Amino acid sequence: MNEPVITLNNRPYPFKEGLTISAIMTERKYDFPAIIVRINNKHIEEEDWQTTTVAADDNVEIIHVFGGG
Amino acid sequence: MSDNCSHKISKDDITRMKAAHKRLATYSFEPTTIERGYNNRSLYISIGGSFDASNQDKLTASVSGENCTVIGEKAVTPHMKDKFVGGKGFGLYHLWKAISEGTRWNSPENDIVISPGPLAGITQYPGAGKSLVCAISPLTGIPVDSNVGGFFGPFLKFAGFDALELQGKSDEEIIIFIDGNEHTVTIDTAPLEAVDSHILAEQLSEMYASTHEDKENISVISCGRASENSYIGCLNFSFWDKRRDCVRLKQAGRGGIGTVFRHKKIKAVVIRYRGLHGDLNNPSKKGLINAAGVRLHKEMAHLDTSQNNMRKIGTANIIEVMDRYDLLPTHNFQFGAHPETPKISSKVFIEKYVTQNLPDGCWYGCSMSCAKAADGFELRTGPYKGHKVCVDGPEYENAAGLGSNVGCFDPHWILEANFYCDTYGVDTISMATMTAFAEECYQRGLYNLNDTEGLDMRWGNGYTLNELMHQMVTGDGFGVIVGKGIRQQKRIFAERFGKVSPEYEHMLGGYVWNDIKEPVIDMPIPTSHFNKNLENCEFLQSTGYDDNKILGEIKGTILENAGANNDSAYIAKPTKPEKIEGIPTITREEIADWPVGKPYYSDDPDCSYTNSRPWVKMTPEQVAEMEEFGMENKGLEYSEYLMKESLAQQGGYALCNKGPQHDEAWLIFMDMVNNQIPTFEDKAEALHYFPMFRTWFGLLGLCKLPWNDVTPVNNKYEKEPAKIPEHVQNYFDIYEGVLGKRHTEVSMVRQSERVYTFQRIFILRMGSGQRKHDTPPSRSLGPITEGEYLSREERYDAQMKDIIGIDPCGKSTAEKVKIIMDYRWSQFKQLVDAVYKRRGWTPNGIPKLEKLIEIEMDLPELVAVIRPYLKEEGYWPQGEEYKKYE
Repeated sequence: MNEPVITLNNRPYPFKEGLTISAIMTERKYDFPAIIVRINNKHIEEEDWQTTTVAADDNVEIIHVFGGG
Repeated sequence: MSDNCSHKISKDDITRMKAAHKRLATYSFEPTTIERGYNNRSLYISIGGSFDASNQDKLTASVSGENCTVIGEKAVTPHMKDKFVGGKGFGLYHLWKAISEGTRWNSPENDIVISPGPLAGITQYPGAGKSLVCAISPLTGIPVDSNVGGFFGPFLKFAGFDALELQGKSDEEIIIFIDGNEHTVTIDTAPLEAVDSHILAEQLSEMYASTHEDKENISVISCGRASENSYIGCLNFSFWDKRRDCVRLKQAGRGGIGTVFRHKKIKAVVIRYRGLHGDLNNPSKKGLINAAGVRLHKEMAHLDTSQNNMRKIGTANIIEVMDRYDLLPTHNFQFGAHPETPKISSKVFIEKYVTQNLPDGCWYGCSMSCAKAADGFELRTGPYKGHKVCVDGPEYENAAGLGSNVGCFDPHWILEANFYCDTYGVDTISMATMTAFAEECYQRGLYNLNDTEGLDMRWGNGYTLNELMHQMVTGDGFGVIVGKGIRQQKRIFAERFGKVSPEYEHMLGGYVWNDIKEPVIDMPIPTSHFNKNLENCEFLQSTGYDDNKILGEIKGTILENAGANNDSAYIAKPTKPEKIEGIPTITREEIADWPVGKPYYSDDPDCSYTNSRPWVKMTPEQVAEMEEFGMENKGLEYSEYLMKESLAQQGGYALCNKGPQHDEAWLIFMDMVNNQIPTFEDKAEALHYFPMFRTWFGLLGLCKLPWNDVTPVNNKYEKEPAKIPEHVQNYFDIYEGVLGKRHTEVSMVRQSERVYTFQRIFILRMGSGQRKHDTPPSRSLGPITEGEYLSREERYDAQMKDIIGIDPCGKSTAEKVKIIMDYRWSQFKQLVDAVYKRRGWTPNGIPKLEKLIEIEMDLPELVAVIRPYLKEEGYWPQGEEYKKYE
C-alpha cells in the first residue's frame, strides 16, 4: 500500500497526521515574508498557519510572491 | 554632505574650461505643449563623419554647423505612436532607419537613441522617470536596449522632445547642451573637462547652472575612461541630490552603449529644464493618476518595512534571500550560496555603509526611494585613492556580481568596484561576470601568471577586481582583455594563451615561459556547507581541497578581509620580454591555420597588451572547455542570478532578445520554488506574458520595481498573484490618465508584441536571431563539474532517480554529471520549441508572417527580412491572401 501523500506545489509530499502548514514551512525552510498559502484552492490566513492541519490528498499551494530582478 | 568632498570644483576651473570651448553649432527650436504624453517630435543630432542617411525620416527643421554637425527635428507620427509607442520602441524605430546590415558598433551611423516614453515624467506615481537607450552593441553586434533613471529623460520630454538621436562621429571632444527653457541646442568642443563621470557631472552641473539651487534643474549624460578601452561602457545619467549636495549617477548599463558614446567623442550631453510641475504631460484624466499614486504611496508607507525594505537598502535587500534559496551566484555561477554571504548581507550595508533616512528617489515622487548611496566612502586604490566619495549603490546586481560571483565577500571591495565601475563608465554586471570567467580560467590553469604579467586572478582578490578597471583606463594590461567581454576573452585566450608544445620549445630561444612562481590555487567554497557528507570526500581531497582549512579561515577572518587574503593585486611584476628572434610574425587571417602549441607573433590593434609577446594557440579541448562555463549568450554576459534549477529562467535568459538580462523575465521563484508552471506550455506562457509585460515598461518610461517589489495586502486573494493584478490595473489607470485611452491586458500585450517581434527581426537583419544564437553555455543548465554535482549531490541524485528514472547507485560522479546534463539539454530543447511556438515563431526562431499580420506589423521592411528564412524553412504560407507579401 502506498504511503499517504499531499500535493505540495504540484509535487507529492509525505503526509503525516497532524501536519500543519507551519510544520511544512519549517521542513521546507520557507521563511520568506511574502508567502500565500492555499489548501484545495482555499486561502489560509497567516495567523492560522500554526493551527491548520492538512489531510491526505490535499492540494496545498505555498506560493512565494517574490519580485526578483 | 560634507563627507563627499574630494573633488569640489572651483569657479576658476569652470571659467578656464568654458574659455576653451569652441562653438560648432547652435539650433533654436519652437516651444511645444505636450499632448497626452507626447511632443510629437524628436531631436536629431549628427556630430560629423560620413554615412548614408537616405533611409532616415526627413528632418522637419535643421541647421548645419562646423565640422559637418547637424541639429534638427523629426516628426513623431501617428504610425510611430501606434506601432512603437515610445521609449524602447522609438529607440529601435530610429535605429533601424539609421543603420544598414553592415553597420558595426563603431560605424559612424550607429545611432544612440534615448527616449523616455509617454508616461515618463509623472510625479504622482512612483517609478515614472525612466529613459530607454538603444544602439548597436559592441558586445553583441545587435541592437541593445538599456533602461536608466535620473532626470535626463523627463527633462528631455519637458524640453520638447520624445526622443534624442545621436549619430555620427566627432573628431574632437564635444559637449551637447539642450536648454529646455531658452529652446536652444548647442554643440561645443570641450577639451579640458574631465572624463570620469563623478567629476565631469559635478563640473557640468556647476558650469550650466546659474545658481547653486539651479543644479537640480541639470542632468548630465556621461561615460568615464574605462569605456574607451573596453566593450562594456555604460552611460551615467545624473541627478542633483540637494540633501547630499552632490551629483548622483544612474546607469544605462547593459550592452556597451557607453563605449559607443565615447567612440563618438561625446564627452557629455547636458540638459537644463526649469519649471517642473506635476501636470507637464498634459494628462487627459489627472484624477486617475492621482488615485493610483495615493494607493501605492500608502502601500510603501505601511508595507515596505515588513516586506522588502526597499527604502532602507533598495534592491540589495535580496542578497541573503538569494543565498538562502540557493540562487546567489558564487564563483562564476558554480554554486548558489556561500557561508561567507553574511559578510555582504543587506544588514551589513545598512549598518555600516549606506546612508539611511534619505528620500533616495531617482525621479521626483518615487516613494520607493531605492536609489541608495554610501557617503564619505574612502577609496583604497586608483587615481582617486584616499578620496572620500559618494557611491551609488550597492544594487543587488553589484553586490552579487562584484561580490559572491567573483568570490569576494568584503563589502568595502564591492563598494570600491561599484564606484569605479560607475565613474569609469563600465557595466557592473558584465564587469562581474567577465571577471568571474577570467578567474575560473586561471583557477583551471588555462593561463598563468606570465599571461597576466603577475596579476593575481585567484578568486576574490579585491585589489585585482579594481586593478582590472584601472588597466582598462590606461589601455594596458590584462584588464584590457577582460574588458572586451567573455566572447572576446575566449577568442583571445584561445589564440594567445596556449602552452608551447615540446616540439616547438626550441623556438623560445631560452626564454623561460613560466618564470613566476604560481600561488597555491585556492578552492572556492567549502562544499560541506551544502553537503555534510563531503567533509572527507576523496575526490575533493585529490584536488588539494581542504574543507576544514577553508572553513577555519572563514570563521577566523574579520569582516574586512581582503578577498583572497592578499594585500596586492600582484603576485609578481615581471618585465615585458624582448621579442624572440626566430618566432615568425603572421597576419590575423593566418591564425586559423597555425598549428596548436607553436609560438608566433601577431598584432591586435584593439588589444595591444599581448602584441610584444609570443602567442600560442590552445588545444581544441581547451577551447571547448571555455565554452562550457563562459557565461555569455549572444555576446552579452549573464546577469547575477543562479538559473541552474529553473528551466524557465534558463529560457528567460537565453531567449532574451538582447542577450541574457533578466529584465524580460524573472521566473525563478514561480518555477523553481513554487512550481507554478510545471509543463512546457506553462513555462512558454510565462515566457510570453512576462517579457511582454516588462517590455511594456520600457515602452512607456516606467520602472519595474514598484510593480512587484511591494505587494498590496489583498494580493494574496488574487488568482494569479505573481502578476500583482492591482498594480497592473494601476498602470492601466495612469496610462488612461495620461493618454486618455482605456487599456487592458490584451491591448498591453499587443503593444509589446509589436516592438518585441520587431526587435527579433531587427536582430535577424543584423545576422543573428536564429535558434543557434539562443544556445546557452552548459553551466546555465546544470552542474558541469564534479564539484558542482557533489555540492548538491542529494538533489541531483534524487532528480536522476525520480525524474529521469535512472538509479544513481554505483555510478561515478562523472557519469552522473553526464546523465543530468544530457537530460537537461533535452529539456531545454523542448522548452525552446514551446516558447517559439507560443511567440508565433518557427522552430528556428523566425517570426512567422501570420504572426506579423495578427499583430499588424506586416510592414514591408520586416517581411523582406523574414521572407528568405521562411521560404527556406518551408514556413512561407500558401494562399491568395499572402500573395501580396511575395
